[in-house]
Amino acid sequence: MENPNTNGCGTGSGSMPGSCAHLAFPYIPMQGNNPAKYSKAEALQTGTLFPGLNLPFRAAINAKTQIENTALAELMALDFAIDELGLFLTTHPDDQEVLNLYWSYIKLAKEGREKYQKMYGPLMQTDITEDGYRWLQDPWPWDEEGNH
Amino acid sequence: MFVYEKKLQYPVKIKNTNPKLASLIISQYGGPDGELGASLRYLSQRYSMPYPELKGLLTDIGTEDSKCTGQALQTLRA
Repeated sequence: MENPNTNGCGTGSGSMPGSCAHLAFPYIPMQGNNPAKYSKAEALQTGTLFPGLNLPFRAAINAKTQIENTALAELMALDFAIDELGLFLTTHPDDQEVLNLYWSYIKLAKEGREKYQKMYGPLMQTDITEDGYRWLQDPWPWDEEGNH
Repeated sequence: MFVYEKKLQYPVKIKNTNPKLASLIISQYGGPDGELGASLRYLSQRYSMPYPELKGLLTDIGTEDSKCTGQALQTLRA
């Protein structure tokens, strides 16, 4: 007699729209502590700081976008690495080596921001600029010149 | 709750305009499975999450998604 729960699919199969798929045990491996890392610039281009998480789609051409070598791009790369390490630390809060790197990058980014702001103006409305209130000055990030 | 920085997370350079692609991107932004809705859902789900690591994770994901809205809009504008 056919088991009413299998919707006509055989033992070891489940139902999916349109077909009887094989049952499977999903397995999600946990990233280990202090994993290998790309350089900051390479991470920004690749979209991940961790080579272990860089799994391009099967047929994807791994065409990297060329990012111009500007002060803004450098700051973006540093901030991206900080984002990535911060995400990692949420699930690996006891990884002391990654924490040290995280904090050293945060210090670098703080210095980088100060240099960047001296040249190009404030990044935040609350930044104090010596030559008066410059927050409203062009370019904004969506302006052609404000994006590199 | 949020702090605005006058810079993008990643540079956006558009070589050719494409209205069809723009309509796809606008649904990625505000559509039923778009970044805007996803971001706000994660940030609301935090309040009923009992585990500290996962409170952090939902905060992370919601925040990342709101950055994605910025990138999607930027791509759209061009």
